Amino acid sequence: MAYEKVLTRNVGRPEARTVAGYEKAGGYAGLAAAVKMQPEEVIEEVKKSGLRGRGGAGFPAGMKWGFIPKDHDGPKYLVCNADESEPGTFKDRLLMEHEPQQLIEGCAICCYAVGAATCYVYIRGEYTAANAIMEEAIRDAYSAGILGDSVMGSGFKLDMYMHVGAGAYICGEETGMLESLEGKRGQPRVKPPFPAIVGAFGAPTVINNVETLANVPHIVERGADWFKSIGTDERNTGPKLYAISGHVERPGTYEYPIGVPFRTLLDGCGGMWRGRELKAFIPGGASAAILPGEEHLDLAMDFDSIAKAGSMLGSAAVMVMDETTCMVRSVARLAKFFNHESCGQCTPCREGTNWMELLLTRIEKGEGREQDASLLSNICTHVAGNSLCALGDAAVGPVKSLVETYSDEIERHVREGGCPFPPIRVFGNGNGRPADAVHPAAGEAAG
Amino acid sequence: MPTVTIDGRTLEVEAGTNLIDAAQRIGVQIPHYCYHPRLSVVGQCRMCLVELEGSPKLQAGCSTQVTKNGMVVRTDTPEVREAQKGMMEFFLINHPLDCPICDQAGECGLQDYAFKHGQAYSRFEYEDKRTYPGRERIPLGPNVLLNMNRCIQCTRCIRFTEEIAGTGELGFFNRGARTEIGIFPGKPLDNPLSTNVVDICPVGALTSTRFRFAERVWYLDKRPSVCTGCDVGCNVTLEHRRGRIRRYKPRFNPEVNDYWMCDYGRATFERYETLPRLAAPRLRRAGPEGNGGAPAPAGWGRALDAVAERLRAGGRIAVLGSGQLTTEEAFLFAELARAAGGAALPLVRTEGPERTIPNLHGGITGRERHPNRRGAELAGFGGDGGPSADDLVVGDAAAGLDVLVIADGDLGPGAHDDEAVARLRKAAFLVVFGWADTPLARAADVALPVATHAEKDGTFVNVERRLQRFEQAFPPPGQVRPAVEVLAELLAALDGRGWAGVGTARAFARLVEARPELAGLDFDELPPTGTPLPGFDEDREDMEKRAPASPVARDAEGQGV
Amino acid sequence: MSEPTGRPAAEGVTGGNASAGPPGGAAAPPPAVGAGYGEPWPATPPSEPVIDGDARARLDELLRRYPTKRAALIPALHAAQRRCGGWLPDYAIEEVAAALELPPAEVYGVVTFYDLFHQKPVGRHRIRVCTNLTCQLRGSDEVMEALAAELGVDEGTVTPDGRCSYTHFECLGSCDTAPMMMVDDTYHENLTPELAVDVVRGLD
Repeated sequence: MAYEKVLTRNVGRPEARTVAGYEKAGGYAGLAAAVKMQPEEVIEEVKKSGLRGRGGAGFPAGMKWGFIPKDHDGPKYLVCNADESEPGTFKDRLLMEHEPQQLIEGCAICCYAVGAATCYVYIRGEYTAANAIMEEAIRDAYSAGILGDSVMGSGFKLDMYMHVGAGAYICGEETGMLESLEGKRGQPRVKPPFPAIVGAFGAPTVINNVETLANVPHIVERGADWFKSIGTDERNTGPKLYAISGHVERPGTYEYPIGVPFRTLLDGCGGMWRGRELKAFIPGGASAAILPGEEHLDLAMDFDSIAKAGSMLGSAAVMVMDETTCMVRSVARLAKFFNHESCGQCTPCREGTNWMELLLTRIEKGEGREQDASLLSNICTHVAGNSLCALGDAAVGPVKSLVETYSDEIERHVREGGCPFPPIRVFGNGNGRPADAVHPAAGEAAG
Repeated sequence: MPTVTIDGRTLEVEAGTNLIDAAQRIGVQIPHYCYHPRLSVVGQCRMCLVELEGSPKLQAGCSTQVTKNGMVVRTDTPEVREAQKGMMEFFLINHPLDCPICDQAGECGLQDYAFKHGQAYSRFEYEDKRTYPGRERIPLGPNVLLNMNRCIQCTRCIRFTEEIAGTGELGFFNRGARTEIGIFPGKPLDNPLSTNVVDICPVGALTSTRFRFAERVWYLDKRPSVCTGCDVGCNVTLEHRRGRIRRYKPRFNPEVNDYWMCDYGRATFERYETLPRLAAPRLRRAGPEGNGGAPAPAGWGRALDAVAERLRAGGRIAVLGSGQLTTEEAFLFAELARAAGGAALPLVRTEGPERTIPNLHGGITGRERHPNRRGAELAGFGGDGGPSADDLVVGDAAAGLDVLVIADGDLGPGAHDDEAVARLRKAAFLVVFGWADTPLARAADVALPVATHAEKDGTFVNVERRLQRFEQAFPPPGQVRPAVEVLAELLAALDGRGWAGVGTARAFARLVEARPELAGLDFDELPPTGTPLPGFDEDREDMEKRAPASPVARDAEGQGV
Repeated sequence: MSEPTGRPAAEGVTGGNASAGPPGGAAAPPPAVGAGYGEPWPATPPSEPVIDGDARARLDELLRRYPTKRAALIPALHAAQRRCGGWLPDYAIEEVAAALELPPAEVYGVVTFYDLFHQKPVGRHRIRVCTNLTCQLRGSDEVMEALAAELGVDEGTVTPDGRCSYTHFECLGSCDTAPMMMVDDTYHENLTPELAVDVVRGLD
């Protein structure tokens, strides 16, 4: 039976950006149903569905909603995490640009369920187009009575605002986002207390990713059982957007039931770029361990299967690398990313990510030493688990997998005093083939 | 109250106590940089990581609170020690090897923890240390210099200016490995509490312009003392070497100044280096006309004889003092006045800009520039029946006096003013007790050199009526003597009564006998946090009542000092 | 605000499992360049305030969205930066700080934390080239080289005619159209070095 798309069914239909167009396509049935249910019932349904956070952590969404205190005297908030800065991730942007009403619907249902009267959509500052589309969609939603004093006539009051970020990956971290929303440096907070108790402006707050919230209307409309029927098992349920990029023919966002085998994903986007050999792929963003391609072709792309394979699904940002790719260079680039994005508060991340970038750059340049691999590994153990937030742990991910899986490449850099792979020349000589290797090594000639 | 077990020992603590504080109560020191008991918890330095049973990761001690029974904490496991080593290595990889030129050496958090918790070698061998070019000696304000290369980004200084000083001049700029502290251009760190950031900076990133390169701290001897800058009476540690005070640092007293003191107070001891010292007693011998001969050095015996003789002769006798006198000195001066049938006059009062020192009781505000006006009044100064300081200094009242004893030769800037000196000189016989060789001392018939604050014991009573004791740091030089000793000798000559050999402690004991509000107090047993006296805190209303500053206490522009 | 994405809507994700971008390699025509920042304001304070009547009204509207004044800071800084021609001079920062009753040092800390706030003029146009992993794999280095050659300045430096400056940037969320760059508020995707140069030549 062909998979019928859920989250991206309106992509390519600009009229669905309006309330009228979205409703005509079947939208807002979920919200209409939700406001007739008890809020606790909505939370139960989402819990039952097994929906896990789509932003990277994979935390059960219904459980998170359940943490919000029921009788709380004061405001509560939903902050929709549209910061999407994880390298390789671009699915939320697609959802906002093409399915803005779906996101509004999901946010509204969540707010209704937890009793939040205000929703801030924290969108990264670089997404100017998506922000404009969302602003327009929200305006339309207010006119249509979806937002405002009485959501769909239910008497439930909800205000929704776009809040534009200013360029910092760490603001995608929950408490970093809250700090940034409150007008401060986006420096993550010490936890506990957790945002469900002390969140935005000191009030109980739910923070959910765009894609997570996009699933909610469908769960409420069609039921948790339906949602659970999609996917691998009851811990890995529902539709999933996969953002695949790198050395594939047709990079893009693809919707599949969660747990699609990697092979299917690869074939579905046209296979390897220019017919090259698959070397490795990162299944879920810059902090996921690198998986050698051949051994993992049949890997089910869901949370638990990938975790068992030693990596993580994360944001499902699938980055595919072919045989011309130098792993040291790639990980050095990721290390540079983490060093740049570290907020600088805590010692292991501030100093550790800096040191790792310096080390990897040195190795890539050909000035590596014998002991550098074990030094890198040891630095990883001092950073992992000791930092104030998860960015420290994330930064360690690719470095650890480089040392564990590709130590031979490190050795080659050290032995040969340089990078054994040719420099990346995509456009170099007009025929799309990379230029000749600078350090041609036996059996590794360019092309 | 919940119980917690730390390294095998169980103790009860108030709910909400963090693990660093809890451990300290049983003498276990969990290392930390960013945590400070008076600042918000940020959990940034990661030095305080400890093992908490049930948690897969190490937990930061500063941000983990004891909330329920049964928490089991271990601070010295191999895993904890490995994390500490790792953190120390991270701190040091970008830290400059400045110890040979850095003020902080000897009292440096990095040195101490590197020794205790670090490893003896660096693996950061082939990379370049991060530096902040051009930020090696930036004045953040008049009192504080920044060397950004040394900073470990603990943010204590920033939190201090925000939360304690309330002025917010310091900020955290940039991100990641490039973060730095600094000021907004054109808005320097300039509040009365600014130098406290130097104290709380664990490393030599923030240094005091006043103390920079002044002394190696391991040469300093330290003594608990009390600041003489105003009537708050901040507790200080007086740090000295070879008879010179080199630095004041605040001494923790949760009842008074907590962990803090103000910039003005830190500079008070510098006065002792700016004026020439009165080194020996001086006696003005009768000239051809009887009076007005040149003063010449004399031994203590002859000098005191001269004084005693004139006091015994009687007549109108007055003792003029100030709040700079210790309680014991003031008592003996008052006794001397009584024994001679004279009056201990109302004190010279001063007034300056208000200084509030934050503490957990809402802070203490001092306005008077002398530390012990209340103690001196308690000890007997201020009775009726005599001229006021104004009468003496601005008026001609001194002309009516047979003997005028100036108990504090450094009464104020006015004591150096030629006109004021001339008016005081109108007394028939002028005795000046002082440490400095000032025009007033030179005008005296008898000038008696007495100890400075560091050279004597004593007590002060502060604005809240708290009695605080301070200790002698080093003996007075040469022929200089503590005023109490000198007064005891004079009293012995005038009044017998077993005054011979009375020192500070016994003077205090006699004061206790004479004042019911001091009943039960023993000089040697005074508690370190001070003793509230009756009327404690009522005098806070006094802070509202503004007594005009006496002319001697005003400087040339008429400002109180 | 600028027009929606430079990627024509018709080439967005369609039904089935097709890609979100145009099929492998063939580039769509580059989109129209969005409005630039205009001339950067001078470093010394001009006579007119940054927060003028219009901006004050917008700030007041912003303040209604949040329970604290401080929360309006980042939106206010965005607006102030726009007004000052793409950067935030110290006097602009001070004005915003005063308007929101925040210590200037704290606002300075916020400005310096985020990559989209600039404390130096960036030219009438600011180019950000993504060089994160998959853009790197698809040739972002070569785009950077082409820009360097075309503009004749190092990254982070404004061209002598004040037209623009360029820097490398982290992932901009357009990995399916790598390599790509952001010029002012517009994404330019599926670049080749030549296309990138074309875009730049079209800047005023």
